[in-house]
Amino acid sequence: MKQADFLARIKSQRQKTCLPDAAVEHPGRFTEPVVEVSTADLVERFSRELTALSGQVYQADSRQNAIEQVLQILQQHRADRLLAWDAADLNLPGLDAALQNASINIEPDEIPADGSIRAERLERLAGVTVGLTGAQGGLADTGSLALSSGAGRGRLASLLPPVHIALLPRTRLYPTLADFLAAYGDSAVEGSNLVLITGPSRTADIEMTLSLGVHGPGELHVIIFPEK
Amino acid sequence: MTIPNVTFYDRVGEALHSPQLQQSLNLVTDRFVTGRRAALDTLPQAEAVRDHARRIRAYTLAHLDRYLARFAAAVEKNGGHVYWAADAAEANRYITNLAHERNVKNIVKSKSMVSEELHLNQALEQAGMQVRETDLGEFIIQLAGETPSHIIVPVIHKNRQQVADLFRAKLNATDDDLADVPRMTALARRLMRADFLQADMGISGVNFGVAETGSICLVTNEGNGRLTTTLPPLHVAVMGMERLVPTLPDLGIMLQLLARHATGQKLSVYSNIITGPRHPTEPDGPTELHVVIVDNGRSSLLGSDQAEILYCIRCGACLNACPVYRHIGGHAYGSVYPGPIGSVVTPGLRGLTDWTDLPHASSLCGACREVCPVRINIPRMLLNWRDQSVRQEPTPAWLRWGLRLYRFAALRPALFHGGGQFAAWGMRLLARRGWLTRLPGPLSGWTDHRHFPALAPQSFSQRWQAERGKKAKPS
Repeated sequence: MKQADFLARIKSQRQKTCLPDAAVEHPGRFTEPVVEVSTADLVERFSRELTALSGQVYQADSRQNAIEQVLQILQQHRADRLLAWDAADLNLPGLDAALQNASINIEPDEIPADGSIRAERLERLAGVTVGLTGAQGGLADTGSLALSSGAGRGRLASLLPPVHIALLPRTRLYPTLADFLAAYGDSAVEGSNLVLITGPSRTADIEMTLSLGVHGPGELHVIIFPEK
Repeated sequence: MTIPNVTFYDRVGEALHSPQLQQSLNLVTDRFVTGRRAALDTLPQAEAVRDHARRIRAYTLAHLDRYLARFAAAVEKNGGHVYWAADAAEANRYITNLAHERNVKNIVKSKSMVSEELHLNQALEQAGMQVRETDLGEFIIQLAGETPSHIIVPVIHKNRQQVADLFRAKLNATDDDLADVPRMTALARRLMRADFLQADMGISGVNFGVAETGSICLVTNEGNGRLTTTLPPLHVAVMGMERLVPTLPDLGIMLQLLARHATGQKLSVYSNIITGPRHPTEPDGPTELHVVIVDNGRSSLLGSDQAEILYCIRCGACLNACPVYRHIGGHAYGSVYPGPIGSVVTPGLRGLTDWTDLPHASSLCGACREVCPVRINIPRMLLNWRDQSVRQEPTPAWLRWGLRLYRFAALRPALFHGGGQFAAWGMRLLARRGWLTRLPGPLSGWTDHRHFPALAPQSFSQRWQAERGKKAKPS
């Protein structure tokens, strides 16, 4: 159907009815009373929420400490290959070198649109155990991460491997989703994908029995670290 | 949607007599009802947020043509394609043709109620494509050749043993694969991962479209929604035309409410917001995005006095709260959308004639309205449908004459009192211990299932006069 016809029909129909509680103007933003919260409070709340959902949270006291934490998780999983965002988006200078030292290779993650390279690369990435990403934000009241795609920031690193490690600078914690969206505005959706991740992949479709990792990662590690 | 040849009452009877179904229904609906309440307690100013969400939905629908135009323009500006489908046939034809043109063989799908409504899978399979449902519940249902019985937990009607038997029969699962639920889940994951990696097209629904940015939001807990919209080079999103919100902050409001009302979570595990196909600089994601906007009867609803039902955000809370749904389950309704919401939507989308039973499948207790995140007045609309169905169908002669007789008597107090006394006397003669076990003719519908109380020896007006007489005396 043509757009014009489709919309004309809607227009004539909606003019016929009276929709309860429909205002002429957009209702605006929902305003909540502004409460000052310290970063320490945000870290505490974020950790509590995500831990309750079977996520693991580490509070690193330095960048060096955060790097060590990453290596430790990789060792636990005997990972020698990584699906990762570009170093610039991980915000941890020195991580690259540390990974090289530990002889952990970062897989090329560019997926061509078609052709045999595509199938081959996907097949190869499907075997990677750990994905490593940064995050554009952490939402304290729900324990969620906000990850936006872009150059060097693929979607698969937080999706394909059974283990996801996310690096979250303390300064990127926001009290709520509304605060995160207010801070970024429409640039939050500059990339083709913005995903809010709230805990490991889960299902309870069979008899309400919880299973983790049904499609996405069953393990989610978030390392919160200071800027310096 | 085929009209089943068994009646609504047959299906209800079957459901009520299945102890397994009753047990499964209790388990899920109880858990969700408590979960919702607890989750709402964690939302500051929850009631005000609900009011705000209702205003957003109302405002958007009152300006729907403008916001749809804006949404479509934004999708196209982001590099996506928009197709306007007046009905199921148009939507299915567009998607099937697209699949042919791109030489698609394998399709992965994430759960979408609108695609159930369109019977999209059937259309694609007839065109020779393999379609795999990837939500675990939908995957099970597809294996069983059934339909979903709940908007959020499609496989609510099956217990673990039934799923295990199905996996054994259809997937050659071993005892080891079926040892516990996590292992059954792992088996499904392995099989579906292979499908994901070789799929040429991903089809998803849309929980919300954002008009200003041209984004579509897809909510899942499993992550199949993300895989469906990331791995295949081609993504088709099917969206009911009413699923819009104006802005990103509006979306934020809806997401908080949707998860809390659907499953009792603060947010679902993955709220996936897609804005156009993959950019040239991005390493992964589909290179092509098509958004199919579906009317299929919705504009008629919009033009009727049932338009408020389009505020619905498909959380399923009204199903869990409904005493009727909790007893008969989703399949008894015979419609794609079950429960209170389905009883209003289905006659609206498919016509009242074939679906007159649904608006009657309610005690009008109002629980649905109370739990609805956007406070849709479902009981009012159920009554509307009942009213319309009574006007459409000729009233049976016995009822017409009965009501005339009643009217005649009710307008004449002496006759009414005398008649009442006579009836009370007659009933007491026939009753045993104050109950009638059998009523004649069409009234036997009542006594087939329960006893009917005999009229009290004293009528209300007699008691009223007696009590008033007592009160008037000085104590």
